[in-house]
Amino acid sequence: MGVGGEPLKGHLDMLVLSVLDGGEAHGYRVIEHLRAASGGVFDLPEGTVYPVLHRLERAGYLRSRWAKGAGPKRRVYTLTSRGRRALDGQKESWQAFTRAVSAVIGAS
Amino acid sequence: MSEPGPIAEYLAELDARLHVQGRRRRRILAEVESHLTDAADVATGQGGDRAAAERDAVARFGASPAALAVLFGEGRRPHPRWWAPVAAAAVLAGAAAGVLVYSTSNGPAPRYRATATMVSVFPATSPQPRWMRSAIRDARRLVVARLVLSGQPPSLPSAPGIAIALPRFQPVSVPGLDAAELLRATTVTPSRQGNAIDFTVTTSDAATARRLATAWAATYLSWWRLGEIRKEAQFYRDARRILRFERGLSANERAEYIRMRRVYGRSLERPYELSSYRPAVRAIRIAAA
Repeated sequence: MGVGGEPLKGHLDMLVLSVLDGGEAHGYRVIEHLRAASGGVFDLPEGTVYPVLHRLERAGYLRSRWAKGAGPKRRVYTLTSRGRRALDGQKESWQAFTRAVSAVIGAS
Repeated sequence: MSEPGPIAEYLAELDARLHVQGRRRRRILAEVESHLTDAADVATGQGGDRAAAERDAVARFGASPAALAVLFGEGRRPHPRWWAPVAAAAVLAGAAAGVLVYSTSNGPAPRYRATATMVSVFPATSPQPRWMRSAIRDARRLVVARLVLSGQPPSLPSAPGIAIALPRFQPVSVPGLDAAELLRATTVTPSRQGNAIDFTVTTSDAATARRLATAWAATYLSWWRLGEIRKEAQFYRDARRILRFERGLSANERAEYIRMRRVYGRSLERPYELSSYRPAVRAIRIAAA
């Protein structure tokens, strides 16, 4: 079952930062990783990741450069130290939130 | 002359709709082209038809050029232009017509909403007593937001002979947040619990939202107490003055003197402490906004 936009609203930044925490990647790779790591649940249209990447870069959470490989040149993104701190904070908030939800709904 | 392929058509439409300029515009177009060409090359390399491969690449890309242009334009602060209202109307019309705008990319960051409930200092006499309406107006003010962040209350007028226990203000330090932004992020509403007020703060992380909501409720209580103390101190000081100069009072002053003497007469010769209020802040709730 794929999950589109609405359930991910507000959390895509954290997911993208998490993917880039594993090393630099270009947009297509980020989408692929999200799809694979979520077992196909987060199946987003590929184009939606680029505005997110640009916004995170403008916020200072990422930096980017053109990388020339065998195929067409690609813009690759790297997490900055500020981005890593933001990710840590967002993870902490998310975990607190999920713990609270689990406590309320009685999940083990 | 050959027809432009699906990728070229997509890029041309995106180029026409983007409302960012210069290097950023060139970079967006290059990045999208790189992505689409890469995807089509992979399919072509596996033996597919080029036009079909490009159509698939564009389809998987998902966002229409109009939607993508809107998403790339978010967070910008364009200079005001005469056509801005027209463009805004066009974007809204496009959205209404079913343009695919993925809400996943809308929020700049996860948002969390924390609510602190301030319990009334008065007994409940009705679902929404009169004090609450004025308190809600009074609580959501820039001066309170400044107090939440600074913890620096205004000084009280001197009141000789009166020992005043000042309420505490605990500043909340949030780097980069100013009072105006905090005010915008805060709502003050009657609580569903009845004789209480909800202070709700929305920020990008739950812990900060919780701290600010709690601080706002506590700060407003202290701010309210400070106002009461100011009024009582003034009243008490006036009472002492009148007692000291009771000769030569007018009829009205005499009546007031008698009233104050009845109320304060026994304690006027001792220091008077104003510390009787015991308001409470409770019931923090956090939700993803």
